Amino acid sequence: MTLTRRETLQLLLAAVASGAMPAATGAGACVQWADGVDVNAAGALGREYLKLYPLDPALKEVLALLRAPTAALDDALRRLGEMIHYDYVAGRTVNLSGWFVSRTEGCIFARIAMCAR
Amino acid sequence: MLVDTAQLSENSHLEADVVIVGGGVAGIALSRQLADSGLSVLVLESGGDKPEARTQALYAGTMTLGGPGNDARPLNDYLAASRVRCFGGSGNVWGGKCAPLDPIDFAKRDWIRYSGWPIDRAGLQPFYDRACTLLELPRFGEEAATVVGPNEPLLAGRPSSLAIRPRCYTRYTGLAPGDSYAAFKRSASEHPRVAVHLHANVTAIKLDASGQRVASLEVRELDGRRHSATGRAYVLAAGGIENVRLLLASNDVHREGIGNHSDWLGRAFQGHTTISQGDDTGVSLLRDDSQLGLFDNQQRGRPHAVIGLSDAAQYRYRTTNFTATLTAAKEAVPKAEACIAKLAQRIADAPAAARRSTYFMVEHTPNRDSRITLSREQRDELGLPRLHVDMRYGEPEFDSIAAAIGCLATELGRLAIGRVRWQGKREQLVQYMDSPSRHHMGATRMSNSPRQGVVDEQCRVHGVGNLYVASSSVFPTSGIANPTLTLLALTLRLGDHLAVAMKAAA
Repeated sequence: MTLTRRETLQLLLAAVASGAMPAATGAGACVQWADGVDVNAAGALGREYLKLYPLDPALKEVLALLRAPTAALDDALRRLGEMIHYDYVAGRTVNLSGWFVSRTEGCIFARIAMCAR
Repeated sequence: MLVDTAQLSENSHLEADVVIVGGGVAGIALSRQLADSGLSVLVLESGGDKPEARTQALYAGTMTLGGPGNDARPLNDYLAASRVRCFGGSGNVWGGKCAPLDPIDFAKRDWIRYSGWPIDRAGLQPFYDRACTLLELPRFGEEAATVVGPNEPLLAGRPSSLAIRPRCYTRYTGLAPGDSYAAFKRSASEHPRVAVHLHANVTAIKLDASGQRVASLEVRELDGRRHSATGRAYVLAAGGIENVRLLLASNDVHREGIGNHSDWLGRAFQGHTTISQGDDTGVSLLRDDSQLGLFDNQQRGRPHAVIGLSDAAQYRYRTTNFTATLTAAKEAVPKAEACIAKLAQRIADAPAAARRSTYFMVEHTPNRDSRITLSREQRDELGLPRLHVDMRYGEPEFDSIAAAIGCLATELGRLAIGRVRWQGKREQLVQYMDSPSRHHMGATRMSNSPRQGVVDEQCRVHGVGNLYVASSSVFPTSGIANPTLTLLALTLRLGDHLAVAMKAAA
């Protein structure tokens, strides 16, 4: 499943309009925590996730954590790790391109989709 | 003594305390054990010392593999390709992988119809230990640590719905380097109280007038010459499919075949297939490759392990047994996969991620429609009806696959061990299955009650006092473990029983 850029933008705008997701802040915001991740490939996963869960309420918290300043990055990653752990404990998983990942991971990919816009 | 039946005069009569049909792993081990106890043993082997095309062609038949909502696949080559009809049997081409069945495999599980053995794992454990000694393997305790040691690198002792299931390879197979298997065969054929007859095809089991005892076996050569064999006890060790053919075809007294009093003979046939979508099935583990040696498949000479659903998880989720086997390391990883691994690695602060191709196995449950039947039209060169095998999976195992893979994925995620790839569709599961392995189980199932099976807990055919089956065909359920170790354990158990019973009778 792939979304066009226009479809992705529409989904993201819908999410922002619903209050589930703040507006994107640009590709540079991804770099500090997504180091080494192929942004285009991850963005494709994110678009796949957004198509499945365009209004995921968890997106808001994930996006806030991902905007953490550099000094707070370790804490943010720790919190994301906890969220991912509890997703798996609760069975909150999603299948993206065949891979079982947590919903929080799906939100992170959605964030990368915004960066890759 | 090794005798080519072709050297005998026609209508020879062969006799021993125990007559064993089939000179494969079970027949060889049993003949040696019984001979050591002082009994004389006759082994009737259809083939020669090496495979011969004409004898092998006796195995030809037809087969389909199917499951609910899936198109059946023809597998007509399987019956001849999955078996070897010569001295040493399929042990000549056996990979040598050994593992016991898990304790839950023996249990009555109310969500799996016809599950439950008359014996349990603890009862079989002493015989598993002896089988391991025979095959020069470490003993498998009920805990994986007894084989893999205390430092298993993946679960590392953490509570989980997953379990490490160890396997070991024996050198007593025709495929292993050296002459261990040849020596194994000689240990029977050179035993002073064992006579192994080659080219001795058993074509009928003759019952006495009561229909409750075997009176003799009809033996034929491919050139048409006939002989007979008698003993005080008879053991069918011709393999999990051929035993069924012989029992079904010996229908002059019991019209539906010997041991078919409750219409179970040939039914509940079970096999083992691997399930994979090729490169699209895999596990990415947050480990360095060097930490995963225990999970390397095909590593002879040391234990290896597969990842299974724990017995407790199977009870909790009411699934069948299930395993994931890691196979080759995948070097070129597509970008999306790399992203998932990289992100998981980053969040978990893991130093590396290793991508492994994987196959899954799900327990094939007893299904009365999974069945071996005699052909009404086709006969082999000896005049025996050829077989049709309709191997069918059922709803329980198809329901279990998605649940089990989901459990694997959530557990590997929860423990920050890795991520799982699978997006198979239920209606295509049969297409994802490899050709079944040489594991032929269930079609002469063991049961306490004659109404529920073919043989009793001593592997004696219900209602026939002197006829036994030494084969994986007696397994009521089949688990996932390679069956030969369990077959040997049951054979050693049968050997003990026969030695005592026959001395008492004498």
